[in-house]
Amino acid sequence: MLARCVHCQKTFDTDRFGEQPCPHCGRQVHLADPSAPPPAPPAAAPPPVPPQATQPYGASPPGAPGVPWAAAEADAPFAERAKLGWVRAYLDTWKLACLQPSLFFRSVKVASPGKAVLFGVISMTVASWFQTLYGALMGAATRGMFQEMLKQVPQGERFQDTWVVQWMSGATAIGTVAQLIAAPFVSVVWIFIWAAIYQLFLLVLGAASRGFEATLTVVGYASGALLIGAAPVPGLANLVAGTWFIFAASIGFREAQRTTSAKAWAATSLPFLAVCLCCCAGAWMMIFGLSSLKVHGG
Amino acid sequence: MAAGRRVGRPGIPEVFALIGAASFLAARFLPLLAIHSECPFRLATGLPCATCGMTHAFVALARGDLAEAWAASPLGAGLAGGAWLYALLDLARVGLGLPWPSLPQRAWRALAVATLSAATLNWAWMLWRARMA
Repeated sequence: MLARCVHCQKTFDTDRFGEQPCPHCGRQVHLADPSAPPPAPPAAAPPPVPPQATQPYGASPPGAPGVPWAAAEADAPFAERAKLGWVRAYLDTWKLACLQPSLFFRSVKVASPGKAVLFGVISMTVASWFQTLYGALMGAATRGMFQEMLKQVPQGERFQDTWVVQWMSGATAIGTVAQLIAAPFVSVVWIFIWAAIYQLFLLVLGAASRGFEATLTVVGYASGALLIGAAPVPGLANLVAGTWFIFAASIGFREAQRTTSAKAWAATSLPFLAVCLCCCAGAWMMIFGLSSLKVHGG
Repeated sequence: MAAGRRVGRPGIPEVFALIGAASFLAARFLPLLAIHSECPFRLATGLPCATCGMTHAFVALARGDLAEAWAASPLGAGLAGGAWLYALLDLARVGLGLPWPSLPQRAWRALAVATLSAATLNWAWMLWRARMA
């Protein structure tokens, strides 16, 4: 039969179920025997064995008949950094957390969220360093643009020479160095504070059955999406990264906390609506200002 | 926040205690209010956002001015006091080798509902105050 390795995603032929090494990457994978766990009521002919994805990330979808949340939990590839190497472990985990969040968060271990936090801190720190670099390189150019734009915004003149312009147009040399040094510490605080905020909403919605560790694990691994913010498109990259994070975290909460999509999405969206209202207002004014510039410029 | 666990290695409660302690040090010793920052929501609407006044409340309370902290944001004052008290208590707990207190899920949920209610009330009060001003 044909099986797919959850770690390297490559397929291989095998003639047995259970634990076995992947011939491509050498890591242990578990092939669940579909006929083994619940003995079939009428012992007729054994069903034909379909090509199986390996456990844990290829487990049955939630709500599948007979085996709801039946997947065995496993560490993320990032937990095997010593064996795989940092880069490969990181990239494997990033792909799973950001591209296959449903499969990943359904089966990832939540008992030791430290690895997830480290993964998130690395992602956010790298993105932050790139953003700082872009800010330093483009500071002079963007400062003029933002000042011009703010003239078009209602009450925008009040923003002139404030932290908004200074921040968006890049910092001084000391500020740049300070941002680079502070990035990992800010990332740790960001992950813990947001995990606490999400946990608050999950608790209120009755959707925190697996505790804070699960929430922290989801926020940590979903923060991998924020690495997109390192792309050399300041502003847009952050918007895409933030949106991707929300998607990954929402799916992650649903799977890791064993809750419904509605509750998971509500828990992810409500804090942004409540806490980030001022950011939305700021973004709206920026967009309004940009569109005004286009009109006036065209 | 599982109940009644190990007292060995530092874990999640200790990280939050560190964040609480760091917030005190930042509020007390960094010139946070010297950083000129305007709330975009307030600038756009003339009304305070849900988190307006938090920095002022933390800084005022760190300097021992409870009245000013309360005036800036009752929730901010409560959050600052709670965070710093928690940091002290957790430090004491670790020092004494006591386990993390066991709280049932219902108690955590009640605490979460109370916190969100307090945040909502705080914003309503600040909006009302801004309207009256």
